Amino acid sequence: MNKYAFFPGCVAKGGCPELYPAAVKVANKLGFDLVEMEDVGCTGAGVLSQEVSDPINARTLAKAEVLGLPIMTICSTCQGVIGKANLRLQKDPEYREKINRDYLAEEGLEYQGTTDVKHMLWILGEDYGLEKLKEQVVNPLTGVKIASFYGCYMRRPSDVLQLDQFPDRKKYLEATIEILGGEAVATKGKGQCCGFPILSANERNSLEMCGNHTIEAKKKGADVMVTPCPLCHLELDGMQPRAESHKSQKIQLPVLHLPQLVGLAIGFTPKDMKMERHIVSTKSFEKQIQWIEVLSKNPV
Amino acid sequence: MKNHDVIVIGGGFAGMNAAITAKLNGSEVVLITKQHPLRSHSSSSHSGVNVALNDGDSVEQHIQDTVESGDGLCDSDLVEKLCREAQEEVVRLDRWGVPFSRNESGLLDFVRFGGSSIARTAFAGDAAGHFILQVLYEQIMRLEIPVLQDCLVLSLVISDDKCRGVCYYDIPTGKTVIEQGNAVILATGGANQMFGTTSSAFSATGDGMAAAYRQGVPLMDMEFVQFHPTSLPGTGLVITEMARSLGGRIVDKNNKALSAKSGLKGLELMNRNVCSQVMTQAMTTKDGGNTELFLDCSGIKKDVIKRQLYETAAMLKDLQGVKIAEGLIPITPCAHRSLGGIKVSANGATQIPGLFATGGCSCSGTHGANQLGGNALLDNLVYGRATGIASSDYAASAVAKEVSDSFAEDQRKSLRNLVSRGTSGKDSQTAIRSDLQKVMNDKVGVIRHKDALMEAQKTVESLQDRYDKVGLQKYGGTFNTELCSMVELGNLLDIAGATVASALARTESRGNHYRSDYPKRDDKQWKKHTLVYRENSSHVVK
Amino acid sequence: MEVTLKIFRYDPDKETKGNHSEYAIDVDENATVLDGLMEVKSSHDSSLSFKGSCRTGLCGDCSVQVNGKGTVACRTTLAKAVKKGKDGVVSVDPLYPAKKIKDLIYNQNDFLLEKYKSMKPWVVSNLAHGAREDEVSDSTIKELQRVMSCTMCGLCDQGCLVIAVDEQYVGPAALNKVYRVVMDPRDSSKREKLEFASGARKVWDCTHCFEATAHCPKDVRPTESIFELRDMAIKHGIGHGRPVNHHKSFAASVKNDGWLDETRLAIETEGWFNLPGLLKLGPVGLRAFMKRKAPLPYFLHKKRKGADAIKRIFNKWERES
Ligand SMILES: Cc1cc2nc3c(=O)[nH]c(=O)nc-3n(C[C@H](O)[C@H](O)[C@H](O)COP(=O)(O)OP(=O)(O)OC[C@H]3O[C@@H](n4cnc5c(N)ncnc54)[C@H](O)[C@@H]3O)c2cc1C
Ligand code: SF4
Ligand code: FES
Repeated sequence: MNKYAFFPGCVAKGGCPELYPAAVKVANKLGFDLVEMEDVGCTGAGVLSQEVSDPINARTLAKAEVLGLPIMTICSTCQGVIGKANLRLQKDPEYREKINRDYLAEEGLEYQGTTDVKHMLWILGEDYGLEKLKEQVVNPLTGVKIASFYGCYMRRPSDVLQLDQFPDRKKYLEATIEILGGEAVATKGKGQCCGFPILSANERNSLEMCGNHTIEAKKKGADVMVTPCPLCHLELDGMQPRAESHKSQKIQLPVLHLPQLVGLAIGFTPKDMKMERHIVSTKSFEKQIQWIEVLSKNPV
Repeated sequence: MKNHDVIVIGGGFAGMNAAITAKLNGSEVVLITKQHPLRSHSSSSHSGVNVALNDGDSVEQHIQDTVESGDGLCDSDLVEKLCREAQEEVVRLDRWGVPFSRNESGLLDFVRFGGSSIARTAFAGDAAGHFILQVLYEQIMRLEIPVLQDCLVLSLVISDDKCRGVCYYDIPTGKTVIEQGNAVILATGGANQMFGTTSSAFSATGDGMAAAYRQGVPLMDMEFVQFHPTSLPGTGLVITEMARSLGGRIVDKNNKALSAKSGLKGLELMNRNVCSQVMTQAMTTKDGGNTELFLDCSGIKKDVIKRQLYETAAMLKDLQGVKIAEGLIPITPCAHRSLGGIKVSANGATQIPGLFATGGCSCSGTHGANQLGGNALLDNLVYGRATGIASSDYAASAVAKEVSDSFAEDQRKSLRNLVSRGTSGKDSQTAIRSDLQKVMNDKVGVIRHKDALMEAQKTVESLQDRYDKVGLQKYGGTFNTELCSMVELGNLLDIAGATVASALARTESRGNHYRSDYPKRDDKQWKKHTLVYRENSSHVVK
Repeated sequence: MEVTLKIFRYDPDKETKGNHSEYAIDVDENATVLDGLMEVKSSHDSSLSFKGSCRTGLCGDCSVQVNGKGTVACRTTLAKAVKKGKDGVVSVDPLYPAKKIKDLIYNQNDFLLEKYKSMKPWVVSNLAHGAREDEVSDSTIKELQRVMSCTMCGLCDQGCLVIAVDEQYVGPAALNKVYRVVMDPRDSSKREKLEFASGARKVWDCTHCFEATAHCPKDVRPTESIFELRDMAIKHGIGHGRPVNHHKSFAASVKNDGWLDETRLAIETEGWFNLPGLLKLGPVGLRAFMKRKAPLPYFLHKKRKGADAIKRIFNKWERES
C-alpha cells in the first residue's frame, strides 16, 4: 500500500493551481493513500535562512513521523529544501536535539530523524514502479516527443538526492516518459536552472535561461516539455511569452506538470488536468494524443 | 623607464611577506612572479609554523631545539631572532585571518614535530601553507601591490656593481623586457625539481639562485638537502609530519615498527635527517636491493583525522584509492627542502648592493645542517620581513640610474640562440631533465659516497653538454612554455652542479649530509659553512 | 598502463581555431592526468602548454576538462578517467567558458582571478588587540577552514549557470571568498563587504542551482556560502531593490500565514509605489488571471492551519539572532 503524508507546498495551490488537483487525481487513480499535511509551513524554498527554515521543516518531519508515514512532495524545490534539512537533522543528532528543544518541544513534538521524504517522481520510480505504471496506460503518448526538465533540486546536491542509494534518480523523468509511450528528447538544459529564482534580481538573465531551455527543446524536436517542479513551470510556461520577446523569436512550447502528463496517459482528459490554465496553449499537444479511452467520471 | 623602489621576485610566503613589509614601510613595491602567487610552491606546505606559546614552552627551549637540530652549524644570533620574533609574526598572520586550529580555550593549538621537545607547531588543519598563502595574497590585494604574473625572471641587471633591476621573459606575449628598481629581492624558492622524488612543485627550479650565482654571488651550504621521511614513492608527495605526530608509525611489510627494529625509540619524532637516514638504511637489503617501508596510521582516531589530516586523507583516496586509517601506505624519503642557497646576511642582503634574497632560495646559516620542521615557514616570515624592511630602507636612500636595454638584448640573443641551434637529433630537454632527476635521486640522495658523487658530477657535466646542443622550436609567441622549461632546466643543471660540488667537498657527516665514507661529524675541520662559486663554467667550493 | 589522450591543441600565433590531437602514452598505474600531460610533453611534443604547480591539489592551477567535465588534473588518475572516456580515450580540454589562450591554458585572470580581486576579499583586522591571538572557538575555525579550502581552481565558475548566460556575473568562487572574510570573527569590515557584495551582478544574481557546490572538488560548498551572504546582508539591513524586497516579503508571508502569498510577493518585490514595475507585472499577471492560473488575490490569502506555530518559530528565531 502506498500511503503518504502529502506535502503539496505553496505553489501547487497558489501560482500553479492546476498542479494540486492533477496530482491528487493521479495519485488516487493509482491507488495511493494520501494524508494531506495541512498544518505545516512553507519549506523556505531556499529563500528563508536555514536558521528558521530548519525548525519549520523539522516540525513538518516530526508531524509525519507521528503519522508514521513518509512524506510525498510534488515540487522539486520543496523536495530539495526539506530533503536537505532532513539530511542535516538526521546526520547531526546534537543539532536535531537543539532544534527539538528550542522550537518543537513547546508543541510537544520531537523529531527523531526517521522520516523519509520523496518526490512523486521518485515514488513512481521506486515505490510504485514504472512497470506497474505501464499497465495503467490507456492513452499511450506514441509519437510524442517530450523534453524533460528536472529543476535544480532534483539534480543536486547528490547527497540530498541520496544518489549512492538510488543511482537512477537523475533518470526517472525520461524513464517515465518512455513508459507512457512517449519519446524522450535529450537536452543539455534538462538539469539546469530554469531562471525562476533570479526573476526579480536579474530579469534579463532569467529570461535568457527560460528562452535557452525552451528553444533548445524546440530545436531538438520536442512537442512538449514536462517538469516535476511548479517553480520551473512558472518560469518556463509563465515567462515564455516574455522570453519570446527577449529572444525575438516564437517558441510556443507547451509545458506540463509531471502529474498532468501521467494523468493524460492513464485516461484523464485535458480538462481534468486543468490544462486550460496554462499560459502557453497545450492544444497542439493534446491533438497528438490518440485518445483511446477516457475516464468517464472524475474519480476523485 | 619607470624605476621602482623595490622589486620582489616570487609570490610564495617569503616574497609576499617581504613585499607587504616593504610597502608598509613606505616603499613603492612591485611583485614579479612566474605563476600567480596562489599557485606558488608554498601552497602545498601542510603542517604549520613554530612558535613557543604552548604552556610549558619558552623561547629559550625553542632556541635550544633549533640549535640542536642544526647539528653544530647554526648561527646563534640568527636563531635567537628567529625564535624571539615568532610570536609577533604568527599573531599577525592570525589577525589577518589565518584559521589556525584552536584548543578548548580558543587559543592556538599545537602539535609536536620531529626534533622538538614539546608540541610547538601551530597548525591549521593539515593545510596551513595553503591558508597562509591565501591570507598573504589577500593583504597584497588590500595594499594594492601590483603583481606581474607569468613573468619568468631570466637575469639580474647589474650596473656599476649595483643591482638595478631584473630582466624577464613575459610568458603571455613572448617579449623579453627589463623592470628597473632600486632594490631587488629574490624570493624564488628552492631547486628541488633537480630530484626525481621530491615534494616540491614544478616551479621549484632554482631560478633565483642561478641568476645570483651567475653574477658571482656564492651559494652557501648547498650540500644540505633535507629529505622528508614520509612521501609517496614515485611522486614524492608528502604525507605530513603531523601523521607521525598523531601516532602514525613507520613499519615494514609485516607491520613491524622500524623504531623497534632499529633500536631507536620514538624514531618517528626524531629529526628528519635521522629518520630519513635510518629509513634509507632499512630499505636497502644486504645484497644492495630494495625493500619497502610503510606508514601505519590505523592508530589515529577518526575525528582526529577529520580535524588534522583531512587534506592528506583526501589526497590518498584520490591518488592511491586507499583510506588513510586502513592498511599500510608505502613511503619513501623525498627531497624536501634545500637548506642551502644564496648567501645572505641577517637582513637578507647579498654581496651585491641592492640585491637581497629571502626564503627558500636564500641561506643565512640560521638552520645549520638540519632544519627543525615548522621552522621553514617561520624563517620565511621573520626573515622575509627583515628583508622587506632592509630593502625598503636601502631603496629610499639609493639613487636611481637609467639602465640600457642592452641587458634585455643580451637575453634575447641567447634565447634566440636556443632556437637557431635547431631541434634535430634524438635528444630533448625532457630527456635531460629526467636523466638529471635520476642521477640526483640515485647518487646524491640521503646516503652519499665519494664514488657516487664523482659519478654524479660527471653525469651532470655531460648533461650540461647535451643541454648545450638541444634546441627550441621557436622563440617568443604566446605561452611558449617549451622555452620556459628550457630556461628552468638550465638553472637546475647549474644548481645541481653546485650541490654535487658542495657535497663532495664536505668530507664528514652532519645533519642532512650523510657520507658513508665519512660517517662521523668532524668539528675540527668542518664546523663551518661551505660556499660555492661559479667560476667560468665550473663550481668551486671554498 | 597504456592510455590515449585526446588533447585540445591551439596556437594563436599560427591558427584561428584549435583542434584535437591524439597521443598514446605509457604511464604508471597511479599516474594522474597531469602526469599524463607531462608524459606527452616528454615523449611526443615538448611544446604542449598546460598549467600545474603543486601536483597535490592545493594550488588550484591545473584545472582542465577531462572527458568534458571540469576536473583537477593532478587529483584525477588516468585509470579512472579511462573508464569514463569515449572508447577508452581520455579527452582533455581547457576550462569552458573561459577564453582559450594556448593549448590547455585558458584565461584564468579574466575568468576568475580578477573577479576575485574585484570583491575586495581581505580581512581588515582590528589591530587594537593585545600581543596574543584572538580567542576563537575551534568550531568556528573548522568552518573557516572548510570555506577557505577553496584553491581558486575555477571549477565552480565553469559550472555556474548564471555565468553561462552572463560573463559579467562575479561568480561563486569570488562570492565564497567574500563569505570567507565576513564570517571571520577577526575581520572588522563586514558591513562594507556585505554592502559591496549586495551590488549589481553579485550575491542576488545567484539562482542557487547548486551547480557550484556540485562542481567543487573540495568541500567548500560555494552555493551555501552565497545563501549565508544573503542572510547576513538581510540581517544587517543591507541592500534594497527587488531581490531584497522579494526576500523580505517572502519571509513576512511565511511568518504571518505559514505559507507563501505569491500576489503579495510579486507586488512587494516590485515595490508598492513602483508604478512601471507593477505595470510590467501586467501582461503576465493579467493573462494568468484570465486563465485562472493566478493565485488568490492577496487579501483572500488564507492563513494555514498551524500558522501560529510557524509564527512562534519565527519570533523565537528573530529574538535569538
Ligand atoms: C610538502 C611541503 C610541506 C611543507 N611543510 C612545511 C611546514 O609544515 N612547515 C614549514 O615551516 N615549512 C614547510 N615547508 C617548507 C615551505 O613550504 C617552504 O619553506 C616555503 O614554501 C618557501 O617559500 P618561498 O616563498 O621561499 O618559495 P616558494 O613558495 O617556492 O615561491 C617561489 C616563488 O617564486 C616564483 N619564482 C620562481 N622562479 C621565478 C622566476 N624565474 N621568475 C619569477 N618568479 C619566480 C614562483 O612563481 C613562486 O611564486 C613545506 C614544503 C613542502 C614542499
Ligand atoms: S569553491 Fe571549490 S570549485 Fe570554486 S574555485 Fe574554490 S575550490 Fe574551486
Ligand atoms: S597542480 Fe596544484 S592543484 Fe593541481
